[in-house]
Amino acid sequence: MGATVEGQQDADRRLLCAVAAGDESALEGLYVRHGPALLAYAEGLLTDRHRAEETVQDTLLAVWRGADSFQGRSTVRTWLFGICRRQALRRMGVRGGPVHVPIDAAVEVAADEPGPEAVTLARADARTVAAAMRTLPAIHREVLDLAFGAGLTRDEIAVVLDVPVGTVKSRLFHARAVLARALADGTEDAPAAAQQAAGRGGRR
Amino acid sequence: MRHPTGQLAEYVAGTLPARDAAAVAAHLPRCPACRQEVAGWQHLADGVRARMAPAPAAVLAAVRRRLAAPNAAGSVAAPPVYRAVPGARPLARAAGLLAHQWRLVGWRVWAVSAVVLVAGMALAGWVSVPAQPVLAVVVPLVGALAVASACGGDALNDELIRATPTSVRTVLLARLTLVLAAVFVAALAGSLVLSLAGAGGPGRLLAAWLGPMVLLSAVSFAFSVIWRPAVGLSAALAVWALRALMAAGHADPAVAGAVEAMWRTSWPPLVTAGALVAGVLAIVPRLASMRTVQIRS
Repeated sequence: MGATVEGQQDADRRLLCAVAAGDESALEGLYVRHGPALLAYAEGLLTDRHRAEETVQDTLLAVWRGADSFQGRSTVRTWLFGICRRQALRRMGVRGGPVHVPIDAAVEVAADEPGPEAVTLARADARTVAAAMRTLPAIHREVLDLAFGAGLTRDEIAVVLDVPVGTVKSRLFHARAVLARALADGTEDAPAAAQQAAGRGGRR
Repeated sequence: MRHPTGQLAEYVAGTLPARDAAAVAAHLPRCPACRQEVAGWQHLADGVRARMAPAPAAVLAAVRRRLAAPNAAGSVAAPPVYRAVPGARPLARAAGLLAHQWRLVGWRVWAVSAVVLVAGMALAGWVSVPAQPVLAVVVPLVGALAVASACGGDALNDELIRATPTSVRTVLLARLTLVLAAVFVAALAGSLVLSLAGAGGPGRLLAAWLGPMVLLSAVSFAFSVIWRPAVGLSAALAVWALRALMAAGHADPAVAGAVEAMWRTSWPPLVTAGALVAGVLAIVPRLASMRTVQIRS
């Protein structure tokens, strides 16, 4: 598995070198590889598909212009998602400073024993989870998108979000807990509404 | 038994290093709790991935459009390089240069010079029967004053000069020419009027002020350009006052004779003035870059 991750990163780096040399098809290659995850990530931050697409446009333009300034201190996809995040925050009107961090996200989670959330989640199907994702705060949605959508490692996520690695871990657990709570509320209070939400999520 | 709970999310995401992933895989068959956890993360991951749609080609098309429009893409164009074309219609260029300097020098300099000159001429015509001494005192002063104000380096004009494709030397020379020519023409006209009014022959009137004006203007020019207008004007005034003292007979006859020789319309003062101006023009570009450095630092 490690070898394929390395292979993917090499492919990314080759594409970025070609972009730096002015090869538009290499930019397309990067977009094909990471576009879906970038779009989902940007949409998760902005909660708007149109603005998410514009953000990804901005990201690709920034990659085109800045490809030769990439220094290889991070992986290419970390760089991509970092740019995408900055562009999205710019669109959100956040400049420089960090996104608001809820107090519970800063608290370390005791992650030694299996929690009850796993049971709730294991019962839910993908569409229900996707619908519940929309109710999450952006700070939780983005860590889930980066971990499972983009497939970034914990270290890479830490770089993109500019937080310590331990915070990435605790945010993941918090996101899961909040999502499980939303799922549980949905199934107990109004199963019909959850179904409806799932249906909307599926059509989108 | 120690549960790898903290690694299960990465295990499901596929981002756990190979060795850790193998350890987790070995642990799972023996641990229902961790299997439950993995199932939970797996459903979460499926839900997250279900939100991912194929990347539309429209985004890429829009990027290509924005790359094709250079301004919209925000690419910074290289600043244009200005190149003066000597030889192309030199007379028109010279006329244009002088006309622009006329505006850049500013109306205040022209107004003050005109007032002083007219007052001096009036005084010469009204008070003294031989008009030469008054003219020899007034006209050089006007020249020095106008040259100092027009050629001295004020910050605003410095910027303007540096922004033009014309070299600093050319600009300074154009200003000096323009100012001296204007003062010369005005003083010449005044002298002719005085001559007609019976103040003396036009040649003698002209000789009274031409040499001193050139020399004093050159001194004023040198100090104004190298330091600043106030210094140039002070230097000119000092030379001028020295000459006035000599004329009043307050100095050693030998020194007075030498000063007086420099104050006549003859070769020595004209050559001295020419050498001064040429020397200043030679070092002006270096001065300009030194000033730029000072401004930037």
